[in-house]
Amino acid sequence: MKSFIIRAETGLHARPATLFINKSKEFSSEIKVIKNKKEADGKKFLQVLSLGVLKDDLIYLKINGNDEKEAMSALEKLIINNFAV
Amino acid sequence: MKELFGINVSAGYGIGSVYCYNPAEYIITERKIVDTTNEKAKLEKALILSIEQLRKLHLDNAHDIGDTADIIEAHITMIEDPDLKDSIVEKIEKGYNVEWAVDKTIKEYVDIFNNMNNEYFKERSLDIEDIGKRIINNIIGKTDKPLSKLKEKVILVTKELTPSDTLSMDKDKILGIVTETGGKTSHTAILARTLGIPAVTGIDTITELVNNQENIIIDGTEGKIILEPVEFQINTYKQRIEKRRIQLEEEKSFIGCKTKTRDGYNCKIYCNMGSPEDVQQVLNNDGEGIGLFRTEFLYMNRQTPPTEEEQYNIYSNVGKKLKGKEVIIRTLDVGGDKKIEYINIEDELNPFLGNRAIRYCLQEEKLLLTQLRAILRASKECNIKIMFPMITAFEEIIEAKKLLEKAKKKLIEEEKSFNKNIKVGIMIETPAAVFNSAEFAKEVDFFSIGTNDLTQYTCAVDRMNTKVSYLYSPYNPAVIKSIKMVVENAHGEGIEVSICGETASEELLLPLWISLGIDELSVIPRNVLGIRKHINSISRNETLINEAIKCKSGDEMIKFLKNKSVI
Repeated sequence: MKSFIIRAETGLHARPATLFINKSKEFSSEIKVIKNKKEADGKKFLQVLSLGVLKDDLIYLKINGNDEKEAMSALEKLIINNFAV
Repeated sequence: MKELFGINVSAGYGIGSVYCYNPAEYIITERKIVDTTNEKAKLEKALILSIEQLRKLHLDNAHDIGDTADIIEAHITMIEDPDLKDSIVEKIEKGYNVEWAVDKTIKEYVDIFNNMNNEYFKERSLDIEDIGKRIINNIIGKTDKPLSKLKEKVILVTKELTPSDTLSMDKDKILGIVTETGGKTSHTAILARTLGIPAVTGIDTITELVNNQENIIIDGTEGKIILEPVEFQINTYKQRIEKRRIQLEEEKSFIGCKTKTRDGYNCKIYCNMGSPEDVQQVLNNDGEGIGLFRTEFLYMNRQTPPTEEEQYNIYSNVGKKLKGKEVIIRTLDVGGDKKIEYINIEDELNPFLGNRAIRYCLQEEKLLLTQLRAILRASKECNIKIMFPMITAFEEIIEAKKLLEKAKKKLIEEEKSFNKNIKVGIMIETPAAVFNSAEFAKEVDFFSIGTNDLTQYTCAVDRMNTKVSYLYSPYNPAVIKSIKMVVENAHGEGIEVSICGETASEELLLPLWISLGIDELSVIPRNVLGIRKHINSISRNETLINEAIKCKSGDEMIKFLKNKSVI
C-alpha cells in the first residue's frame, strides 16, 4: 500500500478519473483507491468519481496481483505527473 | 401583437413558425416480472446502443467547441462502468422490470453526487441523469429524435436544452431559440452564439404562451419575442434579415484578406473575448488575434477562485486554437460593476473609483500570483501577452511587474517552462494614465486604450445614470485629445497601441483611428469583417486629427467626421 497526496488542481474529476481507470484496466491486479477509509475499485469510474477526491487530498493505493509492481509504478507516474498526458 | 422580453444571448433576427419542444417525461412504472433473461437482454442492447450513439456524436462533434468532447467521453465512461450495469442487473434479478431498474439506479447515483460538498462533483449528477434518459429511451424504443428530424425551418421554443438535445439537433433547421431558463453563459446561449442563431432566454412561461405552428418574430439583438406580429413588423424584420444577409455575404469575401487602407496602411483587427467559447467565433470571422481576453468569467458563478491548473488549461487551449496569433490576456478586472461572490469587496460609495481591478489584485497577491503563473505556463507554447487593467500610478506598474518576476522565479525553481520574454502591457482607461503615458510607455511593451472606461472617467459621468448619460460621449473632444496623446507617447517610445472598446467598431471614428496610426483595433468577433471592409475602402488623412481636435463639442465633432467621411 502506498499513500499519495493528489496535487492535480482539479483533484480526481472526470478527465483525470477517466485516465486513471483506463490505466488501471491495463493490469490484471486488483486495484483499490482509498480516501478517508472509503474504498473504491480503481477500475470503476463511478466509484472513483464518487470518492470526490480534491486537490491536496490524501489517498492510498492498494494493489494485489501478478503485475502489482508494474501497476503501482504506472499509476504512481500518472499521479506524480498530475495526470498530464 | 404582444412583445415579451427576455435576455439577449445571441444576436440576429428570425421570423417563422414555432416548434414547441417538450421532451415528454415518461412515467416509469414498477412491474414485477418473471422472465429476467429477457429484461437483461433488453438492458444489454440498450447499453450497446447508447455507447454507439455517443461514439457517433463524438465523431460528429470532433471539431466542436469547448467541452463537448469531454462531456461525451465522460458519458461513455459512465455507461461502460460495470458497477452501473451490476447495480441494474441486481434489481432485475429481484424481479423488477428493466426501465424501473435503470431509473432507480440512476437516482441512487444522482443522490450520491448531489450530496457531495463540491460544486464540480454535484454537477456530475446532471450527466448521470442525461445518460439515464438515454438508456431508458433506448429500452422503450423512443428513439425518435424530434430535433434531428425537423422537416422545415422553425423557431425552437422550449424550457431548456440539455447537451444531448443540442448535440442531436439539426442545426440548419433552427431559425431561432427561445428558452424559459438560462442566461448568457448557459449551454443554449453559447451554442447559439457559436452557430450564429438568434436566441432569447429567460422568458419564463413562453412554452405555455405559444402554440406549435404559430408565427412569431425573434429578436436576439434586443432580447425580445413578438407574438401575433402585425404586417408592418413582419416587413420591418424581413428587411432587417435581408439587409443582414446581404451584409454577411459581402463581408464573407473579406475572409483571408489583410486589413489595409487604400494607401497601404496595415491595421490589425483583433477580437474581444468574454468566454472561451468565443474562440470559434474569432476563427469563423477571421480575427487576426485576441486583443482583450477578459478573465472575469473564470471567477464568476462559483464558490472559490479558479485554480492555476484550470486557468492554465483554458489559456493554453485558447492559445493553441489561435495557432500562433497573438492572445492578450487581461488580468482579473473585478469591482466597479463586476461583482464576484467570494471576492469580498465591501459595498462602496463609489465602486468605479474604489477597490477594483489592479488595485484589488495587488492587495490580494495570492489571487494575482496564481493567475500570472497560469498565464506564464500557457505562454510556453502560445503567443500570449499579459495586460494589467486600470493602471493610474507608476507604482502600480512596478508592483505588478515585481509580482510577475516573482511568479517567473517560482516557476524556474519548479522547473516549469514559460516564455521568458513574455510581453507586458497596460490598459489606458483613466486621465491619469493618459497624462502619465509618456513615462508608462518606457516601462511596458504595449498600451491598450479601453475607451468605454476612458470616456466614463474623462467625462466624469456614470453611463448607467439616465439623468446624465447624455454627457457620456467618446466624441467629446477631450476623449479624442486624450487618445491622440496616448498614441503619440506610445509611438514616441516605439511601442504598439491598440483600442479595445466600443469606439473601435464605430465607423465614424475609423478614419480618425487609422490616421492616428493605431496599430490594432479589438472588436467583437461579429464586427471584424465589416470593419475590415470599411478600412479597406478608405485612406489615411494626416491632417484629420489636428482638424478634429479643433472641434468645440461632441456634436461638432460628429458633424465634422460625417462631412469628412463623404469621400
